[in-house]
Amino acid sequence: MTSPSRPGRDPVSRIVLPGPARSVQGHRAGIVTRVAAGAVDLVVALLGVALMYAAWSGTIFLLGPQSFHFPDPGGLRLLLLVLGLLTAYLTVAWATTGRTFGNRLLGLRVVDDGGRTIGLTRAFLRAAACVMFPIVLFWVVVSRENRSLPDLLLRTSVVYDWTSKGGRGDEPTSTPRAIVLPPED
Amino acid sequence: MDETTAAGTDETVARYEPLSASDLAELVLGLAAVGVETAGRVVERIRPPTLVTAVVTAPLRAAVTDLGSRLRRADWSQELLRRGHSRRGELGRRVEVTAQRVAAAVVEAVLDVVDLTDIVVDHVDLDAVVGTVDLDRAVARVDIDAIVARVDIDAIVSRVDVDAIVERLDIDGIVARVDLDRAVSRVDIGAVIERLDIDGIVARVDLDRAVSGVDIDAIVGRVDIDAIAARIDLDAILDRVDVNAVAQRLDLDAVVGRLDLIGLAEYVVEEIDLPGIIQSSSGAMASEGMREVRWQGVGADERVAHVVDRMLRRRPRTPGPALPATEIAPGPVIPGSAG
Repeated sequence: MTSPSRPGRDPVSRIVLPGPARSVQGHRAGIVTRVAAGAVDLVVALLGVALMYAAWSGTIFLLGPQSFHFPDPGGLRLLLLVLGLLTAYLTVAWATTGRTFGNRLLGLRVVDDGGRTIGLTRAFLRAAACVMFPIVLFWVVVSRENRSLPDLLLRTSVVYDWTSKGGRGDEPTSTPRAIVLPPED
Repeated sequence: MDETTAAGTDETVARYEPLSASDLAELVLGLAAVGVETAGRVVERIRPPTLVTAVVTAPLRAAVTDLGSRLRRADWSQELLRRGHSRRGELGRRVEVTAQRVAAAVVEAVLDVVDLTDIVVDHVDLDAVVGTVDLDRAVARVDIDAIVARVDIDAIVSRVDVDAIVERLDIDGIVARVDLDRAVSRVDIGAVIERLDIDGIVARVDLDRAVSGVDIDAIVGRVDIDAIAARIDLDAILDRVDVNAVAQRLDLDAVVGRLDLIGLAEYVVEEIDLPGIIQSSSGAMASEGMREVRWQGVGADERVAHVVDRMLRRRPRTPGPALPATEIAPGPVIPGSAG
């Protein structure tokens, strides 16, 4: 996933994309794909929490099989665990490859205005905002630029990127890429 | 001499008597002597003033003239006069001949004694003499052609030692004094060239030998190829070249035949990282279902955005409909980032 990219390799890898999909690469994604990706990530987090619960239960069982009973973590604690795990997961994913499992499934990538992978701080702030106030994501519906409120505040973007390569920030370009405005219809 | 005189006299005096030649001569000479003596006396006596002389001599001359007339009238006197006349002519001729002989002898003797050249050189002003001579007229009367025709020029030239003359010539000095520019300016080069047999000259030139002595490398080294190339108007040349005609004459098959297509293909595959492409296509997009999900998501995004834009009564936002399939953006294109 994080294989180093070389200049000029990105267009070559796009050759394998279907024709219509090539034209949307790099454009900001809409609300449907982003919500779907978020849902997938939430499922991943739930699965993770479930896995942790299973592991914890298994550990208890191994320690005292006679007195075993499923632990009861409590609803709030479980919710906090889910949200915390989700935040950590999103932060690490966006800061390293720019994409979570849900992003990868739906062909999205989180980049900054220059098309590079965002830093750890921005990734954490963005993940926290999205996890605690998921409603801010829906600003995308109204925004003419397909930007959510965290995107506006942190100057990030979620773009279509169907290629399987690692983070775009790996490209050794010192200057930001030129932003090409598509024709207004 | 006496005989001839006597013979001639005998013929002329055949009719008269009897005077011999000697007698007659004596008579005449006697008369002459008397006459001369008489005249001398008279002249001596009549030395006085011219007037007196004129007064005295006039009657005397008249008397003498009268006497001569009377004598001539007499026959004998006539005969005597005729003989005297003849004798006088004979004597005159003899005296003349004698005088010539004597004069020749005398002049010869004098010339033996006197050096005439020295005398002339010492006493004659030769310059003045020459100054009075009209040399032009003299030369005009000379037939130069005839003289030249009689001269054997070949013989003269054959006796000239040209080498010795040339050795004594200061060729450098002569050349230094020649105004070559003026001389050359007066030469009609065109006429000279027209009379030259250029073909004949070239045919006799050993071009191979001449070229072998030329240092081509040195010449090429002094040529500024860059300057020459800079002055060539390649655009004008290319405008005149029919590239299509040139391309039609190309044997592309031969060109392709010489290409290392296998090597070229390997080079292309290596450059475009074909294994990476295959990995990408088999990794992220191995699933046709996932691609379909992504495509459906893109479509749903567009539809939602379109509906929202219509509800908000505003122009459709970007991203709108998919751009042409051939368009490959060099990087992420962020729609509406400027707005």
